[in-house]
Amino acid sequence: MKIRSAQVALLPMFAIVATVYVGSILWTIGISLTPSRSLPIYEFVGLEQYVALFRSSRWTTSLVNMLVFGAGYIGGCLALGYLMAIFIDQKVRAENALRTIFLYPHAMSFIVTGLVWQWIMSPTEGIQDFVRGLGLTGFTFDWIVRPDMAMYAVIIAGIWHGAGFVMALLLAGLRGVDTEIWKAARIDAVPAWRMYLHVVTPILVPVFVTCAVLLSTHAIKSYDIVVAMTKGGPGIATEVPAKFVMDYLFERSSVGRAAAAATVMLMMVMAVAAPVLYARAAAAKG
Amino acid sequence: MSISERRPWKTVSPARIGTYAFLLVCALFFAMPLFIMLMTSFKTMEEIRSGSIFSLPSAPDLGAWVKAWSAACTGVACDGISVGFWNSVRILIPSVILSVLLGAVNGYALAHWNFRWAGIAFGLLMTGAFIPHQVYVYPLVQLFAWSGTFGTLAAIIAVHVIFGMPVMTLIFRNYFVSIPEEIFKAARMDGAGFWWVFFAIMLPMSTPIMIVAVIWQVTGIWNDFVLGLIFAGRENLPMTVQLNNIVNSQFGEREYNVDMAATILTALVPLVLYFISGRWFVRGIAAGAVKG
Amino acid sequence: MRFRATLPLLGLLAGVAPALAQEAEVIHWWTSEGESKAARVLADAFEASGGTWVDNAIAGASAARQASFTRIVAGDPPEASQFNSGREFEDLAAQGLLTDISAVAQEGNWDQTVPQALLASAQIDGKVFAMPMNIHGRNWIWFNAKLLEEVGAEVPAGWGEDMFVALDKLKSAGKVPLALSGTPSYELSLFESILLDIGGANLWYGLYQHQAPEAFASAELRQAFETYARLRDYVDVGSPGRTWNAATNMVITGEAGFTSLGDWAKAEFAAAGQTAGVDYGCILPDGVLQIGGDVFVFPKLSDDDAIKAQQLLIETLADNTTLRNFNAAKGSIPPRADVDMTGTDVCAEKGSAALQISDTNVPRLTMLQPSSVAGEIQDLISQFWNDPSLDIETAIARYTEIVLNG
Repeated sequence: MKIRSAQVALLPMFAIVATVYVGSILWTIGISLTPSRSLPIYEFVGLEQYVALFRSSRWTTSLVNMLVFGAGYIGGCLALGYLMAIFIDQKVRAENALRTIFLYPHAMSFIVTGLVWQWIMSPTEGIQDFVRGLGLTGFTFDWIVRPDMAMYAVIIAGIWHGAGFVMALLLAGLRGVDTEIWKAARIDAVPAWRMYLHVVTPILVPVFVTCAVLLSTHAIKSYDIVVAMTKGGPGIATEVPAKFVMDYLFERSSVGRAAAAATVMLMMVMAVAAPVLYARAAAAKG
Repeated sequence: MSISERRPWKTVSPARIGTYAFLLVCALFFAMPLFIMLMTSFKTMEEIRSGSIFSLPSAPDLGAWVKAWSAACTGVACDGISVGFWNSVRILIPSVILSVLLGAVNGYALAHWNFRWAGIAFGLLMTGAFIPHQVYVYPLVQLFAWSGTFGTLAAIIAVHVIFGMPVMTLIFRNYFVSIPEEIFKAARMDGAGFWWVFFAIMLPMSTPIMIVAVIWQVTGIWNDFVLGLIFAGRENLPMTVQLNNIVNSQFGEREYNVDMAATILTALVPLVLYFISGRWFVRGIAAGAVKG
Repeated sequence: MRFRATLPLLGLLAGVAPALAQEAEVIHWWTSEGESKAARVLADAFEASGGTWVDNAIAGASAARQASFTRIVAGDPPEASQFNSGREFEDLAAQGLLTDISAVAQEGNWDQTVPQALLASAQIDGKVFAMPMNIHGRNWIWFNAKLLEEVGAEVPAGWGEDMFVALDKLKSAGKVPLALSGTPSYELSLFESILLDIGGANLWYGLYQHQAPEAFASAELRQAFETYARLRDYVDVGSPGRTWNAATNMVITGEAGFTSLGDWAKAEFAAAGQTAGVDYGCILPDGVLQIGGDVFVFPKLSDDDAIKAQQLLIETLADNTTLRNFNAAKGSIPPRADVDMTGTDVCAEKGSAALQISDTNVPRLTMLQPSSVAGEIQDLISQFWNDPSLDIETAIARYTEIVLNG
């Protein structure tokens, strides 16, 4: 009977998953098999869009970039966010101000902050120019204009944008850790770093999972940061799959190609998620 | 609780210095773009054209701020970003309340009342969260058009609830999972039902995570441009549409000082929330409840 | 936006039905201060003829297009939507979602007055579905007149050897010779400017309209790639990712000598208080203008009152005086030869002259090729520009494949 009320409580979720998420995903897969241009056309052409997709060097570059960006962005945000949360949790002064400074990037539209990052990283306008002006003429920071390094420039701005929220989530987690644990640690004279490493971090694993999943949805979905900073350039060096989908949906009038790209993205997510889903279903059954 | 009883190493001064040094370096990194934005917003366009992005304004000028708020052109009208402010508020409040509550209920049900289909539905929901929102636009447009709600306040609120659901559910589920079962096992043995446990035990314990969830939703919904543009209807366009019109004109001249001021002004609502949310980031709310 | 809320209210107060009958909602992306003036010309003209202009401005063609498409698909279309001249709206027209304005075109003698290239892209199966509002020249070279004089450089005619002499002089004077907005669309734009200078309208149509094999094998195409590659040495290291506004500003401040941009660059010169022919100059390479522009399409409506308002809007927008004032405010060229534009600036006059003969103007790439093909060309050219290890043979081979198989 209690399970019944849990089922009732989850009804809105079931309804939305079934109609919106599953429905849209099936629709998208369907459209990826059509020659749809700017409007959906229901005409079967098989895997043509996929063939064209993987012939495009931009798409394959995008996939690689997504992995590079994902690794750097997720890793960077988790590491920096956790460190900031720990340090802020040391009863420091001005906690409120610090937390707001770390979080504010999250509040700002990327159209303009991305432009500001482009200025900062531009060798002719930003840090490089400034430091050289101070007399250090050998100083170089030109990642954003180098095809081999531009992705890392985007990662820096991504970490700037995302680390604050990780900090907030982990800080909330840290504040939920039982104070008794710290009392015990003090009595046994355990150093703080060992406490964090061996006791606190394992407790926070669910929060880390939350952060990692949130960050990976961002890493896969976001294109605005790339559009604002590099427009995918130099050349196609910073193109990402989500930007590919966006461009083909509304710029290049090819809904079919965009749907094929989105379907491939979905398959990749499923490839990672399916084992987890299966394990969960099995656990619930048992 | 007193300070001394919690952090014995707090008084060791080299560690203290290290702590502050680290936080200061981080703060500088995070604040640099804001510094440039503020400096640019106080300069005249002439100064921006000829000067360095790091230079201080020679004669700070508030003109760009006034213009951004109430006089910048955004089309035929030149009324700045203030036009859509109340629309944004009208979209924000119901969307945040609904999506956070729904997320909390979902998370709670999934964490402690799990059953087979729930896990699968949750997995599908999370999978859907990895696809760019724009992919959903055509099916959703057709869904809303069919239900006759396309271009209304209800439609945009529903869209925000739909797209907020994966993250909200995830945040709450993983938070509730970490709360020991013993806490409400007793209550359940006493015959407390699903909703009683939720409202009397779980919700009061979840203040910090609730704040995080609200921060996430307020930020996302307040800054949303594309969904508002498509689903809200012309009468309800959020202020980000005006912001976009100011900062994202592709073939017109750009006024960077107005762009910066408009961006900061638009971000003020979430920024204020970040600042005042501090009083809830207190240790012991959840922990205290665990003990109690 | 203001009047939208107040007008119906006033109508109610006066005890008459709100002027719904003549209310027309227009989606467009003219949102900067300069563009806003131009949009107001249209709004004022419509209000003067008794209509109520309901402004729905959305910056960025992509976002505006997204709004137009979804509104039309949802069955809640605006009375008019801005598009680029080209093939973006052909699917809408093919599915019968747009109003046929052939009668208006006939009445205005568009086949005589509108440049052939432009009219062709407004037509589908002989019916006219789009109303050209303006023409933007896309392949101009802009230069800082004082700076060129200072370094003793002659104004070149295009992208020939004289250009490289001028670029070298700027370079040895420590200036940035060519300010480039290093983004895919402007990198392509620079290539197109060179291509037109070397091959003219002939090569352009050969490549993009007739897809003639000899055009792809021509020495001119190869020369265009070579000249383009040569320019890499005259661009500063900060070019990638730079906005066109910033590139123009480098010419304005005298940091750079030249930039290659469409005539919208004039908006930045004007905002900085500079005058064409005095502070800055314009070069039209080989005298061939690559044209693009904005059009309005008029979605099919079902409501009778809305249809009436839409008809009034169409009539207003087709009016010569409206077009003249609009283009004067926007700094663009009117799309019709019967609109008198005397008294505009020297660059606009050069542009207008190029429009008089069909050999000296060509439509932009997206008016001849689907935007997916145009997009892939853009990806390739941007890759070529940024990756000197990509040799010209490979680039031409891939270029040929994209155009012929796209």
